[in-house]
Amino acid sequence: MKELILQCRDLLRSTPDSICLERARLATEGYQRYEGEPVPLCRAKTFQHILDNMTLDLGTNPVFAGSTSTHPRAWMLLPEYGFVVPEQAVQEDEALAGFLDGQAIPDELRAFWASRSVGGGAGVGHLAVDLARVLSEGLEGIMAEAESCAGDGDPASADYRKAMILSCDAVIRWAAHYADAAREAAQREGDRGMKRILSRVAESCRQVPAKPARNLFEALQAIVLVQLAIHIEGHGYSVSPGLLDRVLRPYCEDREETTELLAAFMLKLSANSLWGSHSKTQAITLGGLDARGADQCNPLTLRFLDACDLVRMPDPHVFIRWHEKISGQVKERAIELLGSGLSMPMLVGDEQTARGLMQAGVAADDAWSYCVIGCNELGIPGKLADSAVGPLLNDVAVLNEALLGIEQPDSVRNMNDLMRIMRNRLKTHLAQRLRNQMNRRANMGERAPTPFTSSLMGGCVRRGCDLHSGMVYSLPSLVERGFTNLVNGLAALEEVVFDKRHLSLGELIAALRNNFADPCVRSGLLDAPKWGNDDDRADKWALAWMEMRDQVRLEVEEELGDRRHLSSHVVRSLHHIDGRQLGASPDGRLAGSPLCDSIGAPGGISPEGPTALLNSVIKLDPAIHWPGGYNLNLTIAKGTASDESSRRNLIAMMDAFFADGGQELQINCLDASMLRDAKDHPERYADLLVRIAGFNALFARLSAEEQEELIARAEMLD
Amino acid sequence: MELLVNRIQRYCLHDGPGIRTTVFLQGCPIRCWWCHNPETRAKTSADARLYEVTELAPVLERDARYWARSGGGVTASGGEPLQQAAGLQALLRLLGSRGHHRAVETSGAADSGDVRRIAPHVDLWLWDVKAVSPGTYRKGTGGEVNGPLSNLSWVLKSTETPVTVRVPLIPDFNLDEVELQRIALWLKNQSRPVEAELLPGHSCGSNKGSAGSAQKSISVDSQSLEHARSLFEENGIPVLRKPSGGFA
Repeated sequence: MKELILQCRDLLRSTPDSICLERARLATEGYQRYEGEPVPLCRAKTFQHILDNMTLDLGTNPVFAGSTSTHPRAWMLLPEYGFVVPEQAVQEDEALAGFLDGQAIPDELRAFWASRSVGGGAGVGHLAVDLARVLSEGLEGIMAEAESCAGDGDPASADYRKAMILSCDAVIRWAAHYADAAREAAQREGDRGMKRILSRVAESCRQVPAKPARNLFEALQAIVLVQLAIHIEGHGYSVSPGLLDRVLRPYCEDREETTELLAAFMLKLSANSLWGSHSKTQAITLGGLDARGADQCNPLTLRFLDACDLVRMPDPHVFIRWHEKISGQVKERAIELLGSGLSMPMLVGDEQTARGLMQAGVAADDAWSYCVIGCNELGIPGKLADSAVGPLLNDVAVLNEALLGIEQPDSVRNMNDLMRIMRNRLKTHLAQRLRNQMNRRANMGERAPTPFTSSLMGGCVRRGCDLHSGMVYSLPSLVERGFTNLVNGLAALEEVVFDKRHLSLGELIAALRNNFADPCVRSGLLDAPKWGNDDDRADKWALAWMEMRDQVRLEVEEELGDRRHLSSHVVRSLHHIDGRQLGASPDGRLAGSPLCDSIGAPGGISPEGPTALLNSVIKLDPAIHWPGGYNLNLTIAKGTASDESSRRNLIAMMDAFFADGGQELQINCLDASMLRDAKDHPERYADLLVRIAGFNALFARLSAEEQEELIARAEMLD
Repeated sequence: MELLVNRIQRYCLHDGPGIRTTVFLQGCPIRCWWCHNPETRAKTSADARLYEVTELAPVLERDARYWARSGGGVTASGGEPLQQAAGLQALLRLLGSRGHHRAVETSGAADSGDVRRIAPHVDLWLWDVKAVSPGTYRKGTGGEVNGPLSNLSWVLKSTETPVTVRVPLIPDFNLDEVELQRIALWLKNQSRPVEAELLPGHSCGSNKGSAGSAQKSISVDSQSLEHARSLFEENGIPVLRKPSGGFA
C-alpha cells in the first residue's frame, strides 16, 4: 500500500497542469435544459447532470473513489464563475498568467457563459461543513430533515429545500456509480491486493455517504466524496475538512495501515483538480480542547501527522490547535516535522482563538469547535463560514491616503493631530467598504446558490436557504493586510518627523510622492524603531491603531446597522498584489514593493531573535483585537530544531507564546546551504516544503526569485 | 552599580540549560588567539553600553516567560565577566532574588577575591579550562594558568554549585595527547567529580545571530574529537554530548 501511495504522490507532483472541459460542458447542458426553473433548482439539476455523467476515475488513486476531472491535474473549470485564473494563482506561478488563453476552450462555451457567469472563477469556499453529521446520519438523514420541513416557509424556501434533496441524491447516485464501476473493475483485476482495494471501494460506496459510516474507511470515503462534491458544485478556495481527528474519533483505528489510509486520503484531497496543482489551501485542523477543557487529541492526531510526513504535499495544509494540555508526544512530533523542512503543521493558539470567538458572541461549545477554513481564517464546521465574505482593509494604505490628503502639513503639529486625520480617513474608508460588501453579500446566494453545500450547514435546511444567509452565526471578517507596514510607518513618523524633526511632514509627504528620490530620507525612516523587535517605541503604535480601528469599526457597524465584524489578518500571497498598487509608504517601503508577509516582522525574522518577535506579537491581545485570526511567520535556523534539546526549547517557546497571548504561528525552519543546494539540484529535494505567507509550496516549484528570497532569509540567520 | 555590556543575545541554546539570554560583558584580561568574541576583549568599546544594574535586569527579563518554561535563565559571558565583579554580583543577586537561573561563563582569569564574591550568586558555572601547563597556557592566551586553576579548585572544594568544565579543542594548542591528558588528570584530582563539554571549534553558529562574525572557523575532525572524548572518559570524566557549542 505504501508503494501505491508514493506512486500516487509522485504522479501528482510530476504531472503538469492541463484542462478538463467535461464539467464545463455538462454544466452548459444543464443550464440549457433547466435555466427556466428557479435558480436553486436549476443549480441542483445541473449538479445532478454533472455527477451522473462525469468520468469515474479509479485509476490514479484507487484507494478511494472520487475525482474532479478526467485526468490528474487537469483544471476542472467552473464556467458559472467564469473562465478565469484567480489573481493569486498568477502571483504564485507566473506561468499561469495566460494559461486559459492558451487552452482550447471552445467559442460556443465562452459565448454561452459570457453573460451568465457571476465571475471570480469559483464560489467563495472558505468553509467547513458538518462532516460529523454526514458520518452519523448520512445524506439520507439530511434529506429526511428537508422532507420533514417541506411545508414550512415561503415557496422560495420550499424550492431551496427541494434543491437540497436533489443535490444530496445526486451525490448518493455518484457514489453508486463508483460502487458499480469498482465492482466491475475488481472482477476484472488480477492482482489480489488491488482487487481487495477495489472491492472495499465498491462495498463502501453502497453505504456512504447515503447512510452512516460503519468504520474508518467508510468515514474517509464519505468525506472524500462530500469534499470533492462541494468543489464540483462550485466552491473554490479553502473548502476545509475541519476537525478530522475529532470527527473520525468514533471510528478510530491505530495501526500502521491507518497512517497509509490517511495518507491516501490526503492525496485524494490533494488531487482535487480545481485550478490543477495550485494550492486550494484545504485546511485540516487537529487537536484542541473542548468547552470542558478536555484535550481532543487521540491516536488519529499522531497518525495524521505521520500521514502528512509520508505524503509531503502542500495541500491540504495541516494545523494543530496548541494548548497546555497537548500530549508531549504530539508536540514533539509536530516540532520534529517542522524541523524536517515540512513547514507543517501550522500552530493555532487554542485559548486566544476560542476566547476571541466567545467575545464575539459565539456559544462556548461552538467556540471550542473552531477550525481553520483558509490560509489562517477561522470558522466553525457547519456553523460559521464568513471569513471570506467580509470587507478588505489595507492598513498602510489608510495611512498613505491620510498623509497624501493633507493640504497644510504645517498645521499637523504632532502624532495626535495625525491620528485624528487617520481616524477620519479610516471611517470614510470602512463605511464605504462595509456598504459595498453588504450589497455583495445580499447577491451572493441569489445568483449562484450551492444547495448541496448548504444542506450540510446547520440551520440552512430548516430555514430552506443558502449558506450565505442561513447559517447559525453571521460574523463576517474585516480582512486586514499591511499591519506591519502601518505600525512601522507610524513609528517612523513619530521619530523622524515629530520627535527628532529631521524632516518636516511636508517633506515627508513629498518624499512619498517622489518615491524617496533622496535616499537619505528613506534610510532615516528605515532606521526608526520597528515593530516585531519587542521595542515599545514601535509596538505602542500597534496598540494605538487596533484600539482606533475597533472604535471606528463599531461606529460604522452601528451607523449602517450592519453586523459585528471579526478583524483578521490574512495574506496568502496578496501582499505582492497589494504592494504593487501602493505608492511609497512612511515605513521606508518603495512604491510597488510587497507589503509585509504576516502580522510580524518582514520575512519572519527579528534581528533581536525569535523571542523578541513573539514578545511584540503577544502584545496584540488577539481575543480582543483579532478574533478572526492573524498569520504570524517565524523563520528559524535549521540548527535550532536539529536535536532533541533544541526541540524541547522550541516547544517551551511555543508554550510560552500561546499561554501568554499568541493566536497563530507558522514556522519555516531554514538552512541556507541546503536551500542553495536545493535550488541547484531540485531532484534531490522533491520533499522540501516551505510556508509562504498563507500557503505551503514545494521549494522546487517556486520561481528562482522566490527561492532567492528564502535563501536570503536563511542567510540572515547564519 | 553599573556594568559595561558589549551586547545582549536572546534565545541562546548553548550557554547553559534551556532558553537563555546571554549578556556579554566588556573586557578580558587574556588574549586567546582563537577568540571568537574579540570585540569584547578591550576594556572599553564604542559598541559597549553602560547599564545601571537595576536598568539591565528588566531588559534581560523580557524573555523570562521563555526561561520559566524551558528551565533557562541568564548567562553572564564576555569578555571575562568576573572582571566586572561588583556590578556582576549586584546583577546576579537581583536576578536571583526574582527566582531566575544564573550561569556564569568564565575562564577563571580573575582575582580570587572576586570569585569568592560572585560564587554565592551563581547557579551554574561554565568554566573554560583551556590548558593546565603553564607554558602552553601562556603561549595560547598570554596569561598565567595558576590563578584560573586555583580559582576553579576553590569553587569545587568550597561550594556545591554545579560546574560544567568546557574544554575548547584547539589544534596547535591543546589538541595533543600530552596536554589533553594533563587536563583530564588535573580534573580527576579535584575534590569533587566534574563533567566536561568538549567544544570542537564551532563558531557560535545560530547563536551568533545577525551580528555575524568575520572569524575564521577552527574545525576539529570527528576522529580527534572522539579521541579526546575517550581520553577524558578513561580518566573518569563524563563528557556531555552536545550537538555544538561556542567557546569564549
